[in-house]
Amino acid sequence: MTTAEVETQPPSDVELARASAAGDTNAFEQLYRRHFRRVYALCFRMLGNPTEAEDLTQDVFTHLFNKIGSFRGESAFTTWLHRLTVNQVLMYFRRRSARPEFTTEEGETPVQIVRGTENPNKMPIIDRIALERAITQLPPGYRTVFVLHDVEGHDHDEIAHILGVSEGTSKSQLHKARLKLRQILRQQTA
Amino acid sequence: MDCAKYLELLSDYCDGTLDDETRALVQMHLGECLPCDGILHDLDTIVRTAVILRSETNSITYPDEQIIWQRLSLSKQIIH
Ligand SMILES: [Zn+2]
Repeated sequence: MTTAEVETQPPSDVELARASAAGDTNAFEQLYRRHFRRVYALCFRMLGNPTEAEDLTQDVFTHLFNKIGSFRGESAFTTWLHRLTVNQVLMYFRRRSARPEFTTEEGETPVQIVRGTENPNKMPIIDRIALERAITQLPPGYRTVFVLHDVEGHDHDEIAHILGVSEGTSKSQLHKARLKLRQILRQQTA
Repeated sequence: MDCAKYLELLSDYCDGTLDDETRALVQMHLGECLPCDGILHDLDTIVRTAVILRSETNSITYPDEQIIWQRLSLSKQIIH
Protein backbone atom coordinates (compact mmCIF):
# COMPACT_ATOMS: atom_id res chain seq x y z
CA MET A 1 0.00 0.00 0.00
CA THR A 2 1.37 3.42 -0.88
CA THR A 3 1.49 6.35 1.50
CA ALA A 4 -1.21 8.11 -0.49
CA GLU A 5 -3.55 5.16 0.00
CA VAL A 6 -2.92 5.09 3.72
CA GLU A 7 -3.68 8.77 3.94
CA THR A 8 -7.05 8.38 2.21
CA GLN A 9 -8.24 5.72 4.65
CA PRO A 10 -11.48 6.77 6.32
CA PRO A 11 -11.09 8.07 9.88
CA SER A 12 -11.49 5.52 12.66
CA ASP A 13 -14.42 5.57 15.07
CA VAL A 14 -12.11 6.82 17.80
CA GLU A 15 -10.93 9.71 15.63
CA LEU A 16 -14.51 10.59 14.73
CA ALA A 17 -15.59 10.36 18.36
CA ARG A 18 -12.81 12.76 19.40
CA ALA A 19 -13.68 15.18 16.64
CA SER A 20 -17.38 14.97 17.60
CA ALA A 21 -16.54 15.68 21.22
CA ALA A 22 -14.71 18.77 20.04
CA GLY A 23 -17.88 19.96 18.32
CA ASP A 24 -17.33 18.65 14.78
CA THR A 25 -20.86 17.83 13.65
CA ASN A 26 -19.68 16.40 10.35
CA ALA A 27 -17.67 13.84 12.25
CA PHE A 28 -20.72 13.02 14.31
CA GLU A 29 -22.79 12.60 11.17
CA GLN A 30 -20.23 10.13 9.85
CA LEU A 31 -20.45 8.15 13.08
CA TYR A 32 -24.22 8.22 12.81
CA ARG A 33 -24.19 6.88 9.25
CA ARG A 34 -21.66 4.22 10.11
CA HIS A 35 -23.59 2.87 13.12
CA PHE A 36 -27.20 3.68 12.34
CA ARG A 37 -28.09 0.17 11.19
CA ARG A 38 -26.51 -1.62 14.14
CA VAL A 39 -28.25 0.68 16.60
CA TYR A 40 -31.60 0.47 14.87
CA ALA A 41 -31.37 -3.33 14.54
CA LEU A 42 -30.65 -3.72 18.25
CA CYS A 43 -33.50 -1.37 19.22
CA PHE A 44 -35.88 -3.08 16.84
CA ARG A 45 -35.01 -6.55 18.08
CA MET A 46 -35.29 -5.59 21.72
CA LEU A 47 -38.51 -3.62 21.27
CA GLY A 48 -40.19 -5.67 18.57
CA ASN A 49 -41.81 -2.57 17.13
CA PRO A 50 -40.53 -0.33 14.29
CA THR A 51 -42.09 2.94 15.50
CA GLU A 52 -40.65 2.62 18.99
CA ALA A 53 -37.34 1.46 17.51
CA GLU A 54 -37.15 4.65 15.42
CA ASP A 55 -37.80 6.84 18.45
CA LEU A 56 -35.28 4.94 20.51
CA THR A 57 -32.65 5.14 17.78
CA GLN A 58 -33.11 8.89 17.82
CA ASP A 59 -32.77 8.91 21.61
CA VAL A 60 -29.63 6.79 21.44
CA PHE A 61 -27.88 9.14 19.04
CA THR A 62 -29.01 12.20 20.98
CA HIS A 63 -27.58 10.62 24.10
CA LEU A 64 -24.46 9.64 22.20
CA PHE A 65 -23.98 13.23 21.04
CA ASN A 66 -24.19 14.49 24.61
CA LYS A 67 -21.99 11.73 26.03
CA ILE A 68 -19.39 11.34 23.35
CA GLY A 69 -16.83 13.29 25.35
CA SER A 70 -16.86 10.52 27.95
CA PHE A 71 -15.72 7.89 25.44
CA ARG A 72 -12.16 7.13 26.46
CA GLY A 73 -11.28 4.66 23.76
CA GLU A 74 -10.57 1.89 26.27
CA SER A 75 -13.11 -0.45 24.71
CA ALA A 76 -14.00 -0.59 21.05
CA PHE A 77 -16.37 2.17 20.07
CA THR A 78 -18.92 -0.41 18.86
CA THR A 79 -18.89 -2.13 22.27
CA TRP A 80 -19.34 1.19 24.03
CA LEU A 81 -22.19 2.20 21.71
CA HIS A 82 -23.78 -1.21 22.14
CA ARG A 83 -23.83 -0.76 25.93
CA LEU A 84 -25.21 2.72 25.59
CA THR A 85 -27.97 1.43 23.30
CA VAL A 86 -28.94 -1.45 25.60
CA ASN A 87 -29.07 0.98 28.53
CA GLN A 88 -31.29 3.38 26.61
CA VAL A 89 -33.68 0.56 25.71
CA LEU A 90 -33.85 -0.61 29.31
CA MET A 91 -34.44 2.95 30.54
CA TYR A 92 -37.20 3.24 27.99
CA PHE A 93 -38.80 0.01 29.29
CA ARG A 94 -38.78 1.50 32.77
CA ARG A 95 -40.15 4.85 31.61
CA ARG A 96 -43.12 3.32 29.90
CA SER A 97 -43.38 1.01 32.92
CA ALA A 98 -43.45 -2.00 30.71
CA ARG A 99 -40.25 -3.32 32.07
CA PRO A 100 -39.91 -6.94 31.00
CA GLU A 101 -41.66 -8.99 33.62
CA PHE A 102 -39.41 -11.63 35.05
CA THR A 103 -41.84 -13.18 37.48
CA THR A 104 -44.13 -16.14 37.08
CA GLU A 105 -46.48 -14.49 34.60
CA GLU A 106 -44.70 -16.01 31.66
CA GLY A 107 -43.30 -18.69 33.85
CA GLU A 108 -44.91 -21.71 32.37
CA THR A 109 -42.92 -23.68 29.91
CA PRO A 110 -44.75 -22.96 26.70
CA VAL A 111 -44.36 -26.37 25.19
CA GLN A 112 -45.69 -29.48 26.77
CA ILE A 113 -44.46 -32.61 25.21
CA VAL A 114 -46.23 -35.85 25.54
CA ARG A 115 -44.40 -38.75 24.10
CA GLY A 116 -45.88 -39.65 20.76
CA THR A 117 -47.91 -36.49 20.20
CA GLU A 118 -44.99 -34.22 19.41
CA ASN A 119 -44.46 -33.86 15.71
CA PRO A 120 -41.09 -35.49 15.24
CA ASN A 121 -40.42 -33.66 11.99
CA LYS A 122 -37.43 -31.45 12.50
CA MET A 123 -37.54 -27.88 11.36
CA PRO A 124 -35.55 -27.33 8.22
CA ILE A 125 -33.19 -24.36 7.97
CA ILE A 126 -34.89 -21.30 9.44
CA ASP A 127 -35.27 -18.31 7.22
CA ARG A 128 -33.61 -15.30 8.89
CA ILE A 129 -36.53 -13.05 8.18
CA ALA A 130 -38.92 -15.60 9.68
CA LEU A 131 -36.80 -15.68 12.83
CA GLU A 132 -36.76 -11.86 13.00
CA ARG A 133 -40.54 -11.86 12.74
CA ALA A 134 -40.89 -14.55 15.39
CA ILE A 135 -38.65 -12.57 17.78
CA THR A 136 -41.04 -9.61 17.55
CA GLN A 137 -43.85 -11.91 18.69
CA LEU A 138 -42.10 -12.95 21.92
CA PRO A 139 -43.25 -11.51 25.25
CA PRO A 140 -40.85 -8.63 26.15
CA GLY A 141 -39.11 -10.48 28.97
CA TYR A 142 -38.27 -13.44 26.76
CA ARG A 143 -37.31 -11.21 23.88
CA THR A 144 -34.83 -9.13 25.86
CA VAL A 145 -32.93 -12.15 27.15
CA PHE A 146 -33.00 -13.96 23.81
CA VAL A 147 -31.68 -10.92 21.91
CA LEU A 148 -28.96 -10.24 24.47
CA HIS A 149 -27.81 -13.87 24.72
CA ASP A 150 -28.41 -15.56 21.39
CA VAL A 151 -28.21 -12.62 19.01
CA GLU A 152 -25.77 -10.29 20.77
CA GLY A 153 -23.67 -12.95 22.45
CA HIS A 154 -23.76 -11.80 26.08
CA ASP A 155 -23.40 -14.51 28.72
CA HIS A 156 -25.87 -15.03 31.56
CA ASP A 157 -23.59 -13.35 34.06
CA GLU A 158 -23.57 -10.15 31.98
CA ILE A 159 -27.30 -10.32 31.30
CA ALA A 160 -28.06 -10.79 34.99
CA HIS A 161 -25.98 -7.68 35.66
CA ILE A 162 -27.55 -5.64 32.85
CA LEU A 163 -31.13 -6.55 33.75
CA GLY A 164 -30.74 -6.75 37.51
CA VAL A 165 -31.99 -10.34 37.71
CA SER A 166 -30.37 -13.58 38.83
CA GLU A 167 -28.39 -15.75 36.44
CA GLY A 168 -30.94 -18.51 37.01
CA THR A 169 -33.74 -16.21 35.86
CA SER A 170 -31.77 -15.25 32.78
CA LYS A 171 -31.19 -18.92 31.96
CA SER A 172 -34.77 -19.98 32.41
CA GLN A 173 -36.10 -16.99 30.43
CA LEU A 174 -33.76 -17.88 27.61
CA HIS A 175 -34.89 -21.49 27.55
CA LYS A 176 -38.54 -20.47 27.51
CA ALA A 177 -37.84 -17.90 24.80
CA ARG A 178 -36.26 -20.54 22.56
CA LEU A 179 -39.14 -22.95 23.09
CA LYS A 180 -41.63 -20.19 22.39
CA LEU A 181 -39.79 -19.24 19.20
CA ARG A 182 -39.86 -22.84 18.11
CA GLN A 183 -43.60 -22.92 18.70
CA ILE A 184 -44.13 -19.69 16.71
CA LEU A 185 -41.91 -20.88 13.86
CA ARG A 186 -43.64 -24.24 13.66
CA GLN A 187 -47.03 -22.57 13.56
CA GLN A 188 -45.83 -20.31 10.75
CA THR A 189 -44.68 -23.22 8.67
CA ALA A 190 -47.54 -25.58 9.56
CA MET B 1 -36.36 -38.88 34.46
CA ASP B 2 -39.16 -38.25 32.03
CA CYS B 3 -39.25 -36.06 28.94
CA ALA B 4 -40.39 -32.95 30.83
CA LYS B 5 -37.24 -33.10 32.95
CA TYR B 6 -35.03 -33.56 29.92
CA LEU B 7 -36.81 -30.76 28.11
CA GLU B 8 -35.72 -28.35 30.86
CA LEU B 9 -32.09 -29.28 30.21
CA LEU B 10 -32.05 -28.93 26.44
CA SER B 11 -30.95 -25.28 26.32
CA ASP B 12 -28.06 -26.00 28.66
CA TYR B 13 -27.23 -29.03 26.54
CA CYS B 14 -27.30 -26.85 23.46
CA ASP B 15 -25.02 -24.28 25.09
CA GLY B 16 -22.65 -26.89 26.46
CA THR B 17 -23.15 -25.78 30.05
CA LEU B 18 -24.14 -29.12 31.62
CA ASP B 19 -21.79 -31.11 33.80
CA ASP B 20 -20.42 -34.30 32.24
CA GLU B 21 -22.71 -36.67 34.06
CA THR B 22 -25.93 -34.82 33.24
CA ARG B 23 -24.75 -34.31 29.71
CA ALA B 24 -24.26 -38.07 29.31
CA LEU B 25 -27.74 -38.74 30.70
CA VAL B 26 -29.32 -36.29 28.28
CA GLN B 27 -27.34 -37.73 25.41
CA MET B 28 -28.57 -41.21 26.24
CA HIS B 29 -32.16 -40.03 26.40
CA LEU B 30 -31.86 -38.22 23.07
CA GLY B 31 -30.66 -41.44 21.50
CA GLU B 32 -33.89 -43.18 22.39
CA CYS B 33 -36.46 -40.36 22.31
CA LEU B 34 -37.40 -38.95 18.93
CA PRO B 35 -39.53 -36.01 20.22
CA CYS B 36 -36.80 -34.70 22.53
CA ASP B 37 -34.18 -35.18 19.84
CA GLY B 38 -36.39 -33.23 17.43
CA ILE B 39 -36.77 -30.37 19.91
CA LEU B 40 -33.03 -30.23 20.49
CA HIS B 41 -32.47 -30.06 16.75
CA ASP B 42 -34.94 -27.16 16.47
CA LEU B 43 -33.42 -25.25 19.40
CA ASP B 44 -30.01 -25.74 17.90
CA THR B 45 -31.21 -24.41 14.56
CA ILE B 46 -32.73 -21.36 16.27
CA VAL B 47 -29.52 -20.67 18.18
CA ARG B 48 -27.34 -21.00 15.09
CA THR B 49 -29.62 -18.73 13.07
CA ALA B 50 -29.67 -16.14 15.87
CA VAL B 51 -25.87 -15.96 15.80
CA ILE B 52 -26.05 -15.11 12.10
CA LEU B 53 -28.48 -12.27 12.83
CA ARG B 54 -25.82 -10.54 14.92
CA SER B 55 -23.82 -9.58 11.85
CA GLU B 56 -26.68 -9.82 9.36
CA THR B 57 -28.32 -6.45 9.22
CA ASN B 58 -30.26 -7.08 6.03
CA SER B 59 -32.94 -9.25 7.59
CA ILE B 60 -34.92 -6.30 8.88
CA THR B 61 -36.43 -3.31 7.13
CA TYR B 62 -34.77 -0.03 8.04
CA PRO B 63 -36.40 3.36 8.22
CA ASP B 64 -34.92 6.18 6.17
CA GLU B 65 -31.59 7.04 7.78
CA GLN B 66 -31.74 10.58 6.40
CA ILE B 67 -35.14 11.33 7.93
CA ILE B 68 -34.03 10.21 11.37
CA TRP B 69 -30.84 12.24 11.01
CA GLN B 70 -32.92 15.32 10.20
CA ARG B 71 -35.23 14.74 13.15
CA LEU B 72 -32.20 14.31 15.35
CA SER B 73 -30.59 17.50 14.12
CA LEU B 74 -33.78 19.51 14.52
CA SER B 75 -34.63 18.28 17.97
CA LYS B 76 -31.17 18.67 19.44
CA GLN B 77 -29.61 21.31 17.21
CA ILE B 78 -26.83 18.94 16.31
CA ILE B 79 -26.44 20.84 13.08
CA HIS B 80 -25.78 24.43 14.05
ZN1 LIG C 1 -37.94 -37.38 25.63
